[in-house]
Amino acid sequence: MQNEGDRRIRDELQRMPYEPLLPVERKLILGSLVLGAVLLILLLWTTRG
Amino acid sequence: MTRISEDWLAVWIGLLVFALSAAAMFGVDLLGWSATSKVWLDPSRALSPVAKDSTVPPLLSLAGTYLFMLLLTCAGAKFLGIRPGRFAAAFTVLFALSVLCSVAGHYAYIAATPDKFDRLGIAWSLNLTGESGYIIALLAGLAIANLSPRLAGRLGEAARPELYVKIAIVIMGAALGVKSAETFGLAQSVIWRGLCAVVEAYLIYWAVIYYVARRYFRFSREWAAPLASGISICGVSAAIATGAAIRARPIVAVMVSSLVVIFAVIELLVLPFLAQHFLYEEPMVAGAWMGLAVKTDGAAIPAGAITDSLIRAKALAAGGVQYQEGWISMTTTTTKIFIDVFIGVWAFVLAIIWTSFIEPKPGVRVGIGEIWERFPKFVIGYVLTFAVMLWWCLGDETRIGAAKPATEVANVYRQLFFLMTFLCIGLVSDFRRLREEGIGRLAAVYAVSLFGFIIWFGLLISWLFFAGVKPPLASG
Repeated sequence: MQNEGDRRIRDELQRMPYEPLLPVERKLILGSLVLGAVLLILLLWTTRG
Repeated sequence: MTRISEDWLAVWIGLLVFALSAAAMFGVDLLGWSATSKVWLDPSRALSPVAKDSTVPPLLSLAGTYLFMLLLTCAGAKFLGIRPGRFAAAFTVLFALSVLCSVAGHYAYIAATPDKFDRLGIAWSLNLTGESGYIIALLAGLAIANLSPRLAGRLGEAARPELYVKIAIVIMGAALGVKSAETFGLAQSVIWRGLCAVVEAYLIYWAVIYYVARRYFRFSREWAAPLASGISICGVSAAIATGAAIRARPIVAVMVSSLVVIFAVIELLVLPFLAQHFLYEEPMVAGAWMGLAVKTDGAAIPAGAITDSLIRAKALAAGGVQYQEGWISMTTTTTKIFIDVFIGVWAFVLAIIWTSFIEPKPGVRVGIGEIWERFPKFVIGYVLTFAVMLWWCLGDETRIGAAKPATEVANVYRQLFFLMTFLCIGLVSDFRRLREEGIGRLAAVYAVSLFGFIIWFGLLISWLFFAGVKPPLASG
């Protein structure tokens, strides 16, 4: 059973269909990076200031 | 019998060890007979009771330590729903191997630092400190897992690296509390800088890895989100929490977790030595780096302990600078604890985005209770031991003198649980998985992201927030 399950997962990983990035995923990625960059400046300023 | 989670079990066992060792602060030494490894040339001096005035013979001290730990963990096994008999047999073998590795790691020609050469009558050593026992334990575990999988399987009942490291973290909180009371301003600074570094790591790591997994490795959302959390945040716990948050099948988190452990072993064997070589003049940067780069608590916090020893040894040998023990570990622990605390928050955010925008399902709502559900409960134990000792010692500085021997006693068990963590990480790391078809794609995105981005960006963040912050110098 376990081997069959493993084989199924392996097949799935090899034949995974491409799901294009949705606009909401792009927003999540971009939003996270922008927030990270802004906070980096702010936090460095408060830490070193 | 009521079952409890591994996290809560770690809290109770850790608090019990803390309470018993803390009795020494009030003149009642309940665990002073516990056996600890010493740097040795004569094997008969490799082990001794931790209390300097104890007259208990070393072997009796070791037997007592074994029985105490067996009692604690077997009772705990019952609460986890494991049969204590099978657990006890496997635990006994793991304990014996851990002690052997610790003793081997304390051999003078491996462990001695230059300040001890005269006393030991030696002219050289590898200068790896007693913490090299952890690396030996890891290698022993790897050897068993990959050369004798049947034996590894039999030991599986007690091979629980996450449980052991969480107990060790709860115990370690006490020593870090005392240390923080000694230099309160520095401790506050470490906590604040650790928080800043973790916020940055979450926001930037996750987004980049998710994008790489989706865009270049063409993983579906169900695979990419747990993979991004596993690689970028905190390994096993984050992969599982994210998998549950986006309603991925459990097998996704399991597959990602098996890779997390394998790559954590590679990091454990390489990063502390890189840090020793290149960062011995910036010890706190190295500590934060271990917390941000090494995935899973089981590997990251012991990596901080090894780095602490290696860097202090190198700073002493290279420049005669003797830093206080524990500050580098504390930096690693602080960043890792913040990472753990935020896993629940991050899983909550992802759950809202997934159920509202990406895969909306009618009637499925995400409650704020999910944050508590995913909160790593062992952190409560760590914060308790840390806060109690900090409060006690800040109340009257003369108490620090009494608190230190108590934390030294607790440290015996912290070290033993760390040793068992390393041994068990080795035991559960089956490198043959990397050869399996299909896993290669997962392993490739992991390797590219970890070695191409996470490690170096973690170093940059650590440098930005911790450069120039130095541990206090050891006195005397």
